[in-house]
Amino acid sequence: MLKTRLFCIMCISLCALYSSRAQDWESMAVELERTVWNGASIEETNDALIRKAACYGRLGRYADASATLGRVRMFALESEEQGQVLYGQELYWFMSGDFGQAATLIGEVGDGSREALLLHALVLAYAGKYDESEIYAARFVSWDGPCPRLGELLKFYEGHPRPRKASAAMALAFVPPLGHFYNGAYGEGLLSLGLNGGAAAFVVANLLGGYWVTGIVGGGILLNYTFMGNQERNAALVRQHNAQDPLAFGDALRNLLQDITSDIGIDKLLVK
Amino acid sequence: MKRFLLILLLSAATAELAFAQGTKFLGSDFEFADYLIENDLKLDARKLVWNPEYMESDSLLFVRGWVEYQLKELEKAQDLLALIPETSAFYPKALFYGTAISAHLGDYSSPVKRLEEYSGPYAELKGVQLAGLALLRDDPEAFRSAAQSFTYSDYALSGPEKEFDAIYKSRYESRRKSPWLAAAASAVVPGLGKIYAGKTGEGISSLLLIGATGAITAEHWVKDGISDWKTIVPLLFTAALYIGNIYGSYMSVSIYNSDLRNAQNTAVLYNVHIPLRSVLK
Repeated sequence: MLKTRLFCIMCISLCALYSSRAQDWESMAVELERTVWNGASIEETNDALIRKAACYGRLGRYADASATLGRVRMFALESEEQGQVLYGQELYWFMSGDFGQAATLIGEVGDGSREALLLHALVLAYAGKYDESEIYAARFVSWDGPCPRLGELLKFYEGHPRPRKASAAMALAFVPPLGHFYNGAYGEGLLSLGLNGGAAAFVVANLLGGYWVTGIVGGGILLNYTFMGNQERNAALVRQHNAQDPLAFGDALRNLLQDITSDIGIDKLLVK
Repeated sequence: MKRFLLILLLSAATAELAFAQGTKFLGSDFEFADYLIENDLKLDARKLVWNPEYMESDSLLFVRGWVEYQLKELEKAQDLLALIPETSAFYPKALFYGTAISAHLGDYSSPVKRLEEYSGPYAELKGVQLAGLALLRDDPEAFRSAAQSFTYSDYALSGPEKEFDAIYKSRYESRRKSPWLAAAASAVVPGLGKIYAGKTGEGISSLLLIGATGAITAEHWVKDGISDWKTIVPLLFTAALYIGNIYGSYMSVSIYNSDLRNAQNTAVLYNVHIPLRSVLK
C-alpha cells in the first residue's frame, strides 16, 4: 500500500516536472528564434516566427507577439496565410491595448471572416471610430442571416460618445460654470461658480468702496487664479473625456456583442 | 510492470538532475546571445544565458552580466562582471563596464583600486574613467593626476577628455553664484535675486506681485490709516511675500548651484560610459 502510494506521488511529481517544461513558453520562444538565427529556409523561418508569436501570446507579451509576426516574410506566404498573420498582428495589438496600431492593419486583414469583422468592430470602437465600427459590428451579428437584435445594436451605436471639443469647452468656460457643465462635472462647476463669484464680488465691493487699487489689482490677482484656472481645468477635462469615453464604449460594445451572440462566445471566436 | 515504470521514471529524473548541474559549453550560444541582444530580444537573451545547463565559465559570467546590463539590471550586472578574473580575455570589458555601472549606481570609490591596478593596453581609457570618478567624488587633485594621461588625439576619447576639462574649470577655477548676493539683491529690489539665479520670469512675476500687494497696502494706509485692519492684513501679506522672496532668491541660487553640479555629474557619467563601445570593440 505504502509502495503504491509512493509510486503514485513520484509519478505525479515527475509528470508535473515534465509538463512544466512543456509549458515553458519562454524557452520555446528562444529555441524558435534560434531556428531563425541558424539561417533556416524562408518557410521554416516563417513557421518559427508564427510559433514564437504564439509563445509570446501565451506569456501575455502581446506587443512582442505582434512585433514578431511583423517579421514574417509575407512574400513567401499564400494570400490566405498572409491574412491569418495580419489578423494575428491586429489581434495582438488589440490585446496589448494599442488600438491605433491595430486599426492601421484593418485594410490589409480584410473582412472575409466572422472573427475579422468582430475584431475590426472592437478595434474601431476602442479607437473612437464609431461609424466604421458600426458597419463591421452589424455585418458580424448578421453573418448567419438577419439578426433579430440588429436594431438594438444600431440604437446602441446612436448613443456613442461624442468627442468633446476643447475650443467649445474653453469658450463656454468664459461663463462659469458652463464649461464644467459641458464636461458633465456639475459639482465642480458649482464650486467654480462660487469661487469666481466671490472674486468678482471682491472686485465690485472694493470699487464701490473707492478702493480702486485693491479692486483692480487685488481682484486681478484673484481672478487670475479662479477664472484662468477654470479655463485650464476645462481643457484638462476635455482631454480626459476624449481619452476615456472610447474605452468605456468599447467595453460596453464587447458586452453587448457577447450578449447578442452568446451561442458562439466572442472571446473564443477571436482567438480561434 | 510497475517496477519497470518506476525505474524508467527514476532514470529520467537522474538524467534531468545531471543535466541541470551544467554540462553544456556555452560555445556558439555566446554569438546567439549577442544576436538576441543586438536585435532587441533581450528577454529572450536572458532566458538563454540563465539556462542552468551551461557549465560555469568566464564567458558565461560575462554574457550574463552583459545581458543584465542591457536590461538595466545594473546591480546584478555589476556583481556578475566583478566575478570575472584578471586572467580572462573578458577582463578589460568587465572592468571598464563594471566601473561605468558602479559610477551609475553612485559608487565612485571602490572601482578606483581595480582601475589603478590595471596595466593593460587601454591606459588612456583608464585615465578617462579615473578622471571621471575623481570629478564625481569631487576630488580635484585626483582629477589632475588622472588627466595627465589625456592625449586628446583618440577620436573616441578626445570628446570626454575635453568635456571633463571644461567641467573641472567650471567647478574649480570659476566663481560660483552666491546665494547671499541673491538674497541681498532681492532685499533691494524684489525679484532681482531670482533674475540673478537665472529665473527671469519668476523674478518679474515676484516684482509685480509684491508691487501689487504693496500698492494695495499703500491705498489702505492712505485712506484708513496704519492701525486699521484693512491696512494691517495686506501689510502682513506684503511683508510675508517680501521676506519669502528674499529666502526664495537665496534658495534659487542654492538650487541653481546644485542643479549645475547634478548636470555636470550627469555629463561625467555619460562620458564615462559613451566611449566604451568604440574603444572596447
